[in-house]
Amino acid sequence: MAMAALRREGRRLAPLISPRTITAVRSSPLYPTLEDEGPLGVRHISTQVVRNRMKSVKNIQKITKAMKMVAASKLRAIQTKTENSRGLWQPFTALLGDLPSMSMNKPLICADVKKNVVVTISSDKGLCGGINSTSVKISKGLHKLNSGPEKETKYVILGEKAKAQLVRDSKKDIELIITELQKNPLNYTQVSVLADEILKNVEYDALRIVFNKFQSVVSFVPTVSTVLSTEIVEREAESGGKLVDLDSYEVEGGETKGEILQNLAEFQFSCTMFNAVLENACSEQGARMSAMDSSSRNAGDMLDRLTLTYNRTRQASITTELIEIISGASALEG
Amino acid sequence: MFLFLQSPLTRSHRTVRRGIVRRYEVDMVIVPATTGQMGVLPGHVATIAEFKPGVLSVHEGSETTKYFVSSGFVFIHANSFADIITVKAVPLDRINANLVQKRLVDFTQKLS
Repeated sequence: MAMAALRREGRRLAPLISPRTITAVRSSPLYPTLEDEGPLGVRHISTQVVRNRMKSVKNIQKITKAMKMVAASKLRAIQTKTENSRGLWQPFTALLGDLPSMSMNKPLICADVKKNVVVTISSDKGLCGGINSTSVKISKGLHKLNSGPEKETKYVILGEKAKAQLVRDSKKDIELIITELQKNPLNYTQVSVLADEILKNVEYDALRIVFNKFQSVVSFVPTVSTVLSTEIVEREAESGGKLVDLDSYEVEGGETKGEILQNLAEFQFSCTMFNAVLENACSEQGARMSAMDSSSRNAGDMLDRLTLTYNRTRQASITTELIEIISGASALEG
Repeated sequence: MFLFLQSPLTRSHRTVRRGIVRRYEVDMVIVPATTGQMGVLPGHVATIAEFKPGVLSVHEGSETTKYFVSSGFVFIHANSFADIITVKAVPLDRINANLVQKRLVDFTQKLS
């Protein structure tokens, strides 16, 4: 506004100044300079560049804020489901034990498992912080832990992000890759079909599911759940491991005990998978919320700094104009 | 549903779908095992049984609640705890018989 008033002043003084041809000196579109040409060839510094920058940063801030809201609402929807599904695997663990915890005390048990299959659960979409990288790191760690003569570890990958990271160096160890899990809302039927596929195609002694357990909106703990195949369970029970003695349980129905136990193991796997997939989805939304939040905050900081630069540039250009006008006027008087 | 049967018999019943975790003390549970209806009372021997889809009935004193359960497992522990894990458990009063009949016909047609 001040600039417009000054410009008007300039025009009033113009008839006193010797007329001058106004040549349009346009800056080349390829190299925008900070110089702008106003009426009567008055030059002022352009704030256009800074203004464009500010506009784009503001848009980014809006987008990240919106993404945070979306992630928060998705989280709320999926959180109740997850908490409910936690009850599913608890009886299995109570009955059959969880191998990794045992292997700490009895390194032999870890050595006995020859064929390990690591099921890595990750997200399909990005912008969710570091959770996928932690899952992949743990999977690779498990692979290393279980490597040696006669022992092998295979990967089953759920989700694009883990696929991208694991395909690079462990391509030969990957058995199955499954993506686009979250196209439809997660439900048990989908997961049980998945579990079925995995059990059919992959030979295993122990299945280790790697996922991020959702503890709270800001904390996600990478976890490994183990499901043992029935032969191993029986072996451990006999050798007097920490597993509850399965023999003390009568098994009803079916022709053989083994058949029921096989069904049991498969059911356990699908329940644990269901829980793992839900927990990972929750963690993904939570991580995305916090990533987008810090992103909006950074954008806000950047916007503040740009606003200061913009104001400084604007004031400098006003000052320059003033100086030009005043020196012009004083030149006339003098 | 996870039926946790605690003394006398606490039942913890969990489903995959609803995730209802209910823990309560009951007197008896009748479970549709693959070998037939199995009654579970306190002091039952430790057992692992698989079920086929059927009706689960829970008796508490004079009340009986019935649920329709899809397949699952029941673990009966030695300390009179029973864990029932199923994919789906629906209280019978929520099931509409006509709708079920209609759906049955539809799906049988689709299968054949």
